[in-house]
Amino acid sequence: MKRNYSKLWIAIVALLLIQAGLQFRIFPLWVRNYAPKQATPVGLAPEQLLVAVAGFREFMAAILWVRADGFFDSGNYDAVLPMLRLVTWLDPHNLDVYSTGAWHMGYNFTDESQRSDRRYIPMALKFLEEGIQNNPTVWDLYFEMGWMYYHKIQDPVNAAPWMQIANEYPDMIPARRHMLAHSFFKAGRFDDAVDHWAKLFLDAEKDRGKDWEANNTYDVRQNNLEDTILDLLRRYGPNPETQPPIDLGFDATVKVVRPRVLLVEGKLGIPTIGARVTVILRDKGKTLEYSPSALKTFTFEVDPRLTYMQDSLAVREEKFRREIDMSKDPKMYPFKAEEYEVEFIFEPRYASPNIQARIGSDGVGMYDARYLETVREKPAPVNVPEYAKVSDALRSALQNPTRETSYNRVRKVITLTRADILMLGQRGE
Amino acid sequence: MNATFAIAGATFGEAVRKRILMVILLIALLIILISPAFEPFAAGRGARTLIISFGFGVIQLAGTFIAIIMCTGMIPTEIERRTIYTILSKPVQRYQFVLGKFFGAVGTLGFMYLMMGIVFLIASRMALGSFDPAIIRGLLMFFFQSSLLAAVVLFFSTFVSPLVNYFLSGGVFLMGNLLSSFLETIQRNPEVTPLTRIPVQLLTVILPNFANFNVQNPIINPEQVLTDETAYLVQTLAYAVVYIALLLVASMLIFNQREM
Repeated sequence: MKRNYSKLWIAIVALLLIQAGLQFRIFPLWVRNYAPKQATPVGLAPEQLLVAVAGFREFMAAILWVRADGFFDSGNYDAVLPMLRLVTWLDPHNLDVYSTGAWHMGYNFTDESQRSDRRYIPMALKFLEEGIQNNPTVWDLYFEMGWMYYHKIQDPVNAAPWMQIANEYPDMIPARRHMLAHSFFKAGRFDDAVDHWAKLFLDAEKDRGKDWEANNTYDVRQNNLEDTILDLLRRYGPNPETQPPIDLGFDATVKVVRPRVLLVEGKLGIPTIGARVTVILRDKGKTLEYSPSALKTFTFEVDPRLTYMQDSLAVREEKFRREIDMSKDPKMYPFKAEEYEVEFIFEPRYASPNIQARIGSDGVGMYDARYLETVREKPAPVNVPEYAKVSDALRSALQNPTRETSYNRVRKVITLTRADILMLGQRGE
Repeated sequence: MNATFAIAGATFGEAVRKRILMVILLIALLIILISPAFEPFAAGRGARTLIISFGFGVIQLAGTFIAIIMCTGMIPTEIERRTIYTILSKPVQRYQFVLGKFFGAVGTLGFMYLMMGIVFLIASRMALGSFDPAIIRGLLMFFFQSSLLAAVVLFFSTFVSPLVNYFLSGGVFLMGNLLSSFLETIQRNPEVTPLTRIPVQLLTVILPNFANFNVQNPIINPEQVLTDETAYLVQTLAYAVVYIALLLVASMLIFNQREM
């Protein structure tokens, strides 16, 4: 009897060791493929946590996401943010939550005049970066990151690398592949833009005649390829239309008309309609770093002491003028610093095609005696996730970018003090 | 071996006649069947998440309840009713009794999972318009999870009363579902000292890890590309078999030594 028991004990120890060995092998794969990806389920009520643990994790996430949608519809945007955190903890592979959440942070927090609270943009980028880390094998979030740079931040130089990663995935939606060519073009990488259009055109030619969509894609790509080449020839070829440069005679002034209300006006010698001047007011010496690495860890808290306002002013008959009221949004514009910089910028990369036809998309056809400057840029290194499906050559190129491009812009900076803006001592605050 | 299967057959017959288990099964089937009604709550991709995750959740929960309720009383009831003396007075070894009980429980779970699985596949086909074979993979993994839980409950039933067993097994199941997440969190946090990390690591290795069997996330989000998925599934199934064997051997050891 005793001998039988010792055999059982030996079997128990052996089985215990085997299962431990298996668990050691399973755990890293579980972490990579199946684990919830946030540190702690902060914000889940005990019963919600229990429901999640009981196998309803994704169900709970879907219900919370529907709830978040309700908050969004009712305009309770602040309540959406913690929901995003919970949903991505419960279901880190729900791409919609990452893309919609980042869009929400990047676009929807606005002041009374519908100006975005740009302090949320680094947060949106960090959120997308987390989504990419959790879903490195799908193209969607790389594209969303590129789109955030391209459209919201208007930084085509840093949009292009993300679009390049997304373009490596064979299942990417065909129309979205076009954005890489647009990014290259706006970034001043004209050769890469033409190459990409040509590649897309040749790809479309293979499927031509298959169905209406394939034919449409073919036509769009053919037109874009031709237009890009023609634009380049007209702007930079022999007898370019961008020469001689036009004198912008740029100038801008700012006047505090009421506490926290600025009247900005100026002139820009662009003869056609459609030009826009960007105005930025920010704490002196501080700027927003539009990069996922700007935040060490993800947070929903913006810096409550930082004032950052950005607006876009339409130029009509070579003049611009607008009253910028920041008095109704003290949380967005706290005015805690002693000094502020008001920056006026006109840059051609996002100007309308009729303006670019005259001055070029890089501003070679514009001149200003006082405020012209040349900006040289290369993209920030992109830390491509280990499991991203990209070639080694592209991975290396994105991690060590060397290609530098440049463009001309006009920029004027005016310094104001807190006392100026709040009209302290002048019937102000 | 005949004795083992005879006991397994009797256990299966007894289990499917238990009203409480049938009620759980019927409620689960009914809830799964009405799950397509969730579709209007979330359009498009959200509907898939809701319906599939809800179905898997109901099946996992029903499987857990069935495993615990069925197995807690398996051995204590036989002792209480003194039917065990009749069985053991025949040429039946104690280990055969334990094995028979376990196989009977697994057979019952298999029957229940088959029922729920068929209804789930029909409901998801109705709601989503297509049949997703990946669901079968998820069901298989949850079946193994429930079988492992049944082995845990059976193990405890050899030396504790049914009431204690409910809480003990429930606690082990809860911990087994949470430990991996907890360990992963700890490992990512550089501020956690080895004094905290090592005991959690040990517990993760010793306690049955039920979280391993929850593979529903990639089924809900099919665009995910998993790394070494086959290796993961094979190793997890092997883990279940080895851990079940471990628990059965331990159950036999305790049951053999038990005075009756």
